[in-house]
Amino acid sequence: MNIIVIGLGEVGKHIAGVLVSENQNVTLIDRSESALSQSRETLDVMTLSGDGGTITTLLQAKVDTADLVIAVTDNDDVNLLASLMSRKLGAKRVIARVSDTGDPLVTDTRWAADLGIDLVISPERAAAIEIARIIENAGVTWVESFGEDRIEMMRLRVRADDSPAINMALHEIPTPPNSLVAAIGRGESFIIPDGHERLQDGDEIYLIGKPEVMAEARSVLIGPHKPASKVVIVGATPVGRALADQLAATGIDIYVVERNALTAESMAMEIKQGVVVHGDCTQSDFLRSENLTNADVFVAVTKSDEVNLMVGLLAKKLGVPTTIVVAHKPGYATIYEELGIDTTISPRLLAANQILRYVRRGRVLSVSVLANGAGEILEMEAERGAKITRAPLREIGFPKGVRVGAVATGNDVTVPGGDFVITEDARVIIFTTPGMRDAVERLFRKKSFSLS
Amino acid sequence: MNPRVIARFVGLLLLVEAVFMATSLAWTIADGEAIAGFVISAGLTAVAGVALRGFGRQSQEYITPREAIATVGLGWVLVGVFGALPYLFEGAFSHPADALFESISGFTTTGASALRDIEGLPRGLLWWRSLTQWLGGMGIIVLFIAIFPRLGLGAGYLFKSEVPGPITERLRPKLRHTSLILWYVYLGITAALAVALFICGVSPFASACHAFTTMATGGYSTLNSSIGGYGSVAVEMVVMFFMFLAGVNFSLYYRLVQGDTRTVWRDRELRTYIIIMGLATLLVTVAILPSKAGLGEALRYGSFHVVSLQTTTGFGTDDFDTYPHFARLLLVGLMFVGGSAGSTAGGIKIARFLVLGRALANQLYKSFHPRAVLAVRIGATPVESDTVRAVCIFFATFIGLFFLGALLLTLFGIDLVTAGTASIACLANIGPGLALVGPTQNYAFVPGVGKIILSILMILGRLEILTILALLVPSFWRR
Repeated sequence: MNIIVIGLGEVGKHIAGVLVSENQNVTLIDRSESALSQSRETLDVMTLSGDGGTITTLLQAKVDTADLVIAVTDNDDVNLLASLMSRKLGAKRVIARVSDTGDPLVTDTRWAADLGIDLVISPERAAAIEIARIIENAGVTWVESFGEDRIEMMRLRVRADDSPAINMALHEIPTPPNSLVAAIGRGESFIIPDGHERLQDGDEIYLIGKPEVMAEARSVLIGPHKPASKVVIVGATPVGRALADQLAATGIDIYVVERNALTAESMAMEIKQGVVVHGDCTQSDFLRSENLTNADVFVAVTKSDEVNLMVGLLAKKLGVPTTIVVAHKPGYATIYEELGIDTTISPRLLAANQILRYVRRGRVLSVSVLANGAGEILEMEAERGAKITRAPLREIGFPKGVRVGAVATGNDVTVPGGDFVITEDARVIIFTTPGMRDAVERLFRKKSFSLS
Repeated sequence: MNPRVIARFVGLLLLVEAVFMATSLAWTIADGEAIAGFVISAGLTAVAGVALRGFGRQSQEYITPREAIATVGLGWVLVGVFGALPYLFEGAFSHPADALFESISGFTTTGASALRDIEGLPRGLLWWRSLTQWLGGMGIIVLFIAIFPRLGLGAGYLFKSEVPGPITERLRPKLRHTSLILWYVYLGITAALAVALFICGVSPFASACHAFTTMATGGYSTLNSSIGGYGSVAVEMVVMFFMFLAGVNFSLYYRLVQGDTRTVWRDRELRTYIIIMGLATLLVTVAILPSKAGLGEALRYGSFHVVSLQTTTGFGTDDFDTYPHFARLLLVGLMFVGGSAGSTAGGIKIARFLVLGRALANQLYKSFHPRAVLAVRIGATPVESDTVRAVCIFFATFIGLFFLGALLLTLFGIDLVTAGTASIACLANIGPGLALVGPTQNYAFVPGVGKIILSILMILGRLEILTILALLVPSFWRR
C-alpha cells in the first residue's frame, strides 16, 4: 500500500515505524526538515518537507495515487484540511487526528462519514475512555477490547488477602463459561497456563471473554468488586475534561485539580459534574488540607510527564490505592510501572494503535504487547480457505506457547475447546510469545500469498 | 561498531562478486581454454564470502551509520582485491600490485590500464574486465540493495555513500524499489547500446563489453587502440551518444518514462551539462582545426574527446596529447567537472558546481549588501545550508587530494604533466591523462607503490572521498 503520513510527532513516528516494518510504502510529510532527516536515517521511507495542509505539498507527495493518507500533526486544522483535500484529490482512504475532545466530529462518527473522512482519531479521548474503563473496574490494571467490542480482555492483579482463588489450580476455579485465564504474568516471566497452573500472590492474570460474564469471572478470581467512589483528576487538560465527561454518569465523586487559576475557572464552567480545585498536587500539604488523600484513584493527566510521575508517586506514598498516569513520551511507560505506578497510559500510542488496527485489514488486525514484551495478543481474521478453518482446533497442531483465547463470530463469543472449528471471517484472539507471530499468521493465511 | 555486522554484509558482497566472476567461464569454455583460473578465483572469493558470513551470522539485524560506512569502504576494497584474482590466475600479470590496479581501475570505472597488450588476453578475462566496470558503474551496493529485500535500517546509509552527488534522491518510498528502478534503467540502456553497436558491425562479444564499459563511463576497451581501433564514424557516434546518456542523472530517465517531461526539460543540471559540453566541443574543434583535414574531421575528434573526458569515460579515437596546449588544458579542465549527480560519471559533478557558483554569487552580493539574507538555489529548489557546506568541503578536499596524489607521484621521478594528469585521471575515474599516461600510453611503467597510491585515489573518487577518509580517522574505529 502507498501510505502518506502527515506530521512527525509521536503518533506519526510510531505509525511510520510500524508500517515500514510491515513492508508498506511510506511517504512522510512534515514542516521540519530536521525531523524528517532523522526519520530518513532510521526508517526506509521517502520524505517531503512542506506544509501538509497545502495542495502543492499534497500533489508533490502524489496523494492522488495514495491508498491511505494519515494526517496526525499537532494542529487539528491542518489535519482536517489535509484529509479533506487528500480525499478530493483522489486518496482512497483518509484518517485525521482531532485533539479537541469536545468537537462533535470526535464524539459522533456520523460527521466524519458525512465529510468523507474514514476515521477520526483523538488521542486525548482515547486515553480518557481507557482510563474510565480502568476506574470502573477496580482491581483491573488494563482493559482492552477486540472484535468491535465483542471480546473483552482485562489484566487483574491477584492479592492473597482478597482473592478467593489464591493457590487454586485453574481447573478448580469456577470461572463462568466463555471466560478464560489466557495468560499469567509472574515477576519477569510470562506463562501461557494449562489447567494445573496455580494462582499466586502478585500474579497478573490476563482474563478474556464475553463482556457480560467478565464481572462474575473477575470476582471469582480476585474477590468481590469494590467500586471506586472518589477519583482525583490532576490537570484540567483535554484528557482531564474528557475523563470527567466519561465518569459523569457513573456517580463517582470527581475532583479536578488544576494549578492555573484561569484554566481551573474555565474547567469549572465546562464540566457537568464534579468539583474543580485550584492548587498544586505535587505538594502533600495541599493534598491533605483539601482532603484528597482518601481518594480511591489518582489520575495525573497534565501536559508534563514529570509532573504526572511526581503526582502519581506522591499519591501512592500518601496511601492512595490506585494511581493512573499519562505518559506523553511512550518510552516512559515501562519505567513508570517499575516505580510503582499502577497503570500508565500513552494517549499517542493508543491513537497510533487504533489507526494501525484500522489499516491492517485481514490477517493480523492488532498486536498488543503484554508484560513489557514478554507476550503478545494477536487479533486475527482467518482468510477464506486458510489452514485453521479446515479442522477442529485440536487437530491444527498449534506451535508451543500459542493459545486461542476467544473467538467472536457474528454476535456470539466463545472460549473455544478442542472440538471448535474456526470459520472464516471470525475474529480470533490469540495469546502468544513474541517470535511466534509468523507461525500464527501462516495458519490464518491461504497457501499462496502475493509479494506486495 | 560491530565487526560481525560488517562481516556479514561484506561476505554477501563477495558471494555476489563470485557469481558474476563465474559468468566468465562461459567464454572460457566456449573458447576451449583452461577453466582453472576462473574456477580458482571464483572459488576463493566464494569461500571468503562464506567465511565472513559465518563470522557475522550471530549479529543484529540493523546497521548503524558507522557500520554502514565501514561496510561500503571495506566492501569496495575487498571486492577490488578479490576482483584482481582472475588477472593473476589467468596470467595477465605476475605482480599483484598490477592486478590490483587493473581490478580497482575496473570497479571504480576509471579505465586506467597497466596492460601493454589487451588484444592478447583470453575472452573470459576481457569479459571480467568489462563486467567489473559495469558493476561498479551503477554500484555494487545499489545492486545489493536491489537484490536483497530486507537489509534493515542501514540500507539508507549504504545507498547514500555509494550514489554520487550532493543530494541523493528517492524515486519511490522504498529504497529497494528505487535501487531496482535505477538498475532496470541501467540495464535497459546498456542493452540498447549493445544492440546498436552490433548493428554497426561490431562483434557480439565486443558489443557487450563496450556496452558495459560505456554505460559505466569506464573506458576499458577490448582493443589496444580503444574505440579508435574500429575507425568507424558510426561506432564513434553511437558510443559518444551513449556516453552522453551515461553522464545524465539516471532518475531523469525514470521521470521520462513516467511522462514527466517538464521536470527533465527544466532540470538545471542537465542544461548546464549540455551547455558545457557544447561550448567545450566548439572550442576544442576550433583549436584543432588547423591540424585536421577539414571541419568535419575536427568536429569528429573534438566532440568525441570532450564527451569522453567530461563523462569521465576515457575512450580515445585519436592521440589528443598531440593537440595544441589550449585544447589539452581544456580537456584536463573537463576532467575536474565530470558528469551529473546520480549518473555513473565521476569528477566533482555539475550539481556541485551549480551550488558553488550560487554560493559565490551570494557571497559577492553580501560584500556590498552585508545585511542581505540569501538562499542558495538550484533552479527553483532551495539547497539546505548543510548541503552547501558539504559541497564546499568536498571541493576543497578534492583539490587537496589531487595535489597530494600528484606530489606523491613526483617522488618516483615522474614529470609534472604526467603526475598531475595521472592524479586527476584516477581521482575523477577517467583513465587516460597526458604525456606518459596519454591516450596511446598505459600505466605499466608506474612502480608498484605508485599503483597502490593511484588505486586509493580511484576508490576515493568513486565513493566521493568522505566514506574512505572516515575509515582513516582513528576515532572512527574506537568503541
